Amino acid sequence: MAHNGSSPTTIVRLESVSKRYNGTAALASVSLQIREGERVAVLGPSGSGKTTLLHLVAGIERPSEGHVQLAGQPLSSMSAGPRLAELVGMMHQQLDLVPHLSVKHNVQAGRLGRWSLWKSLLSLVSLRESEMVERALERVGIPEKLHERTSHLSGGEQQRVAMARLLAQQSRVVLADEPVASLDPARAEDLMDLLVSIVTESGKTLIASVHSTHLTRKYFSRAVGLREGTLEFDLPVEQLTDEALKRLYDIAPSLP
Amino acid sequence: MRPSSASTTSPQASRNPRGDFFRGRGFLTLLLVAALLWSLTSLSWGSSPVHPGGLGSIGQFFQAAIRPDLSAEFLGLVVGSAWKTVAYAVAGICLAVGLGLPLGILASGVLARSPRVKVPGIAGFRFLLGAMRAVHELIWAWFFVAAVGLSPAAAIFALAIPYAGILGRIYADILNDVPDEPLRALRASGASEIKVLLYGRLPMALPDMLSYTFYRFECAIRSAAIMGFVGVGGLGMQIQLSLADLYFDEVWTLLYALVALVLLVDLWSSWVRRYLTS
Repeated sequence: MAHNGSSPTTIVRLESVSKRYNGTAALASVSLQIREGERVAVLGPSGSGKTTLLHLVAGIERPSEGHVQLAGQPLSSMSAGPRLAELVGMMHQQLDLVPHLSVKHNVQAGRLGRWSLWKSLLSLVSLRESEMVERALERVGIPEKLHERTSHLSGGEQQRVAMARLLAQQSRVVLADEPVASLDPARAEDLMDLLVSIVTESGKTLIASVHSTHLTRKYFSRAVGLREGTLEFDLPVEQLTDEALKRLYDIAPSLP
Repeated sequence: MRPSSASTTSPQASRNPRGDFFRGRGFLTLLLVAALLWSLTSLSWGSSPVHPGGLGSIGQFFQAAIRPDLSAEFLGLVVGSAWKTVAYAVAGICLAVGLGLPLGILASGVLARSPRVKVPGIAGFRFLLGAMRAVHELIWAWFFVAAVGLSPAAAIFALAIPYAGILGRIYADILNDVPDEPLRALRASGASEIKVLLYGRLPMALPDMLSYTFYRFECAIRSAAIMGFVGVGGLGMQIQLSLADLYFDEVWTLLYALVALVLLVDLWSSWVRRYLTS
């Protein structure tokens, strides 16, 4: 498993990764190593490249320069498919479920990478691996929603479905883009509790973009600060000072 | 910092300054109005748009509207030919969906990832669909009547081909317009493009596809009635026969039957749509 001298426990490795969209740099030469089991919060003002960073690790986007490695293997050698699905899974801010399908189908979708086309087709007609689906929904606290249409669920419940899908996918790294951004504080903490306990009880790695420093200090082991696409800081949360945060979110001093 | 495609297109319209007349909407409007005026002058109107002796016939025709032929014998004929027209429309639209759905999926290009397959694939299947709908169903009908004779199959094929061309094209557009975020999530869980189609695109596109298909079914009833004019039976053929004999009261009964059919389909489709969206 050891590769290029990296520690065998390194699961995500970014080597001077840059990403540009039509000439505009979203991420500029970011290097980062994340070990298995870490919980990393990605902080930064909007437009600082948080989502881009997560998408590059998820393999949803390819870097313009630099390399991304997952479990010692270059991401560029893995096309989207079952192998990548076993390594990384991702949840976005609500929008990533198929609203027209029932909850059970959205949970089953986490297995699509492993299932044959025939089994995937059958799963739309009758429940496959029903025990797994029911257990996942039980774990996220909405077992009674199994047959409900996903669009009928509240925002918080939909986030729980997305988590159940991650449970079904069983990836080693879980990426979450603003997982609780649109929820009220109490419900946000409930969901973070759930997400973090799901991740930690199976020894997974969590990388999440977060907007709240309170949530960062409570749930994460490490904080990465991004500003205008560059790495501003990379610290264990105990060393995360208000000073550093203030500098991260300050209006750019170069502006008139 | 996500590369949103939706948010980048809208501000462009508002950024376009109004003063830039020749590139804006004003110029296009002017051009179209000019084209309309030119087309009106280029028609040869003759002395009057209405034939002098025709006015009397028009009067008779509209007088018959309030006293359609409601004799039991004729109503039997109307029901029979309405039934035939509906049967043509149903068979035609079913065949059109069966043809248009796979062609539409192929023309949308959603199954291919590499642009080397995708681009020629989209162009090829879009061209095929375009060719199918470029020829009107009536012309297909003449062609099929010449080929297979005056059989119901001729009417059904003649309907199915252009309708498959229309449905396939719209299906392709709907499949392309589905929101991207859920699809991205499916890909992230390892789904191939065909699984993304089954699990994401089709379920999300289904309500729109169904309601458009219903709208086309309505159109298919009108087209099926027209099929009568080439002699394969149904409401259209009866309308043509009654018109030829100047039995305007019969024509009106048949027209009312056609309107009733279209309204029934409309009711049915709105009921199905309500069921789908609830």
